[in-house]
Amino acid sequence: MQPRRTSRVTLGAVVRSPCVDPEERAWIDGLRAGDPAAFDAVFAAYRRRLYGYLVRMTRRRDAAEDLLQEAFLRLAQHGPRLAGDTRLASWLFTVAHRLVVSWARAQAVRDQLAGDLPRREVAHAQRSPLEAIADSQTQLAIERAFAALAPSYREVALLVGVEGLQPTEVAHILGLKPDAVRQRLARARAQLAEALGEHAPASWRTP
Amino acid sequence: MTDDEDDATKLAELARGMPTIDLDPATAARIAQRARHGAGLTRLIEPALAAGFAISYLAWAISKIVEVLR
Repeated sequence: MQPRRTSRVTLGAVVRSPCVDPEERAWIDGLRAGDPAAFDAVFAAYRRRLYGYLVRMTRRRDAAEDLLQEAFLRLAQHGPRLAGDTRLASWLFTVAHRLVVSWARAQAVRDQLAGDLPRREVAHAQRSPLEAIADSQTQLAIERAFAALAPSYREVALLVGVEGLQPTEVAHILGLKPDAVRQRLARARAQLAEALGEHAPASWRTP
Repeated sequence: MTDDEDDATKLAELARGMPTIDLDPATAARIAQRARHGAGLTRLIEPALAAGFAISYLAWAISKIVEVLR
């Protein structure tokens, strides 16, 4: 009998690890068996993290909701073919990253075809969804500083800083060399420090 | 501590000051339900319409070329 194919071929070696958390291992076993409870558990565990990443990358709640749904739809579709040692965070963020890239390309084409410069100017002038929920000047400054980063730097800063992923793991997610991730990380931090000024944490201001 | 570890640590420290963002429960439930049930027929309608349009246009273009060549 042929061994069952797994999705590791399409998402790369990074999504597999010999030291998967036992709870996550149980979820993966459930997903492989098509258990809806396992899907719900993964959704509950990861939806906030993925949604935060998607909102900060797209700067739109509606787009983030669509992409979140697509990411979990792909999990439901690929679940039965996941390798047993898949790292769900890496798998999901790899899918989310690819969805963001496709969305950004489609958005650029749409903007170009519509020639809608005035609409874009209005959109940029509006507060982002994250600025709207910031409840202090510091939070607002941090969100603005992140939003001002180039998407390639923002993505690395979010995945490493907010999501706590290792730079090597982020390199695999983004399809970059680890040195490129480290370089983007250093530049993102420098630009954030400059943008934050007095709002930067105390440790950022000491040499 | 290496430079990239230092960058990661400092960014994590900054991230702790960021607001958390989440879906409202109704939207989360709707998204989970739609994702759980997989690709429905509605997801196929748009690509099917696009493919139908493209094939019709191609057939029309070929028929015009044949007409000119006759």
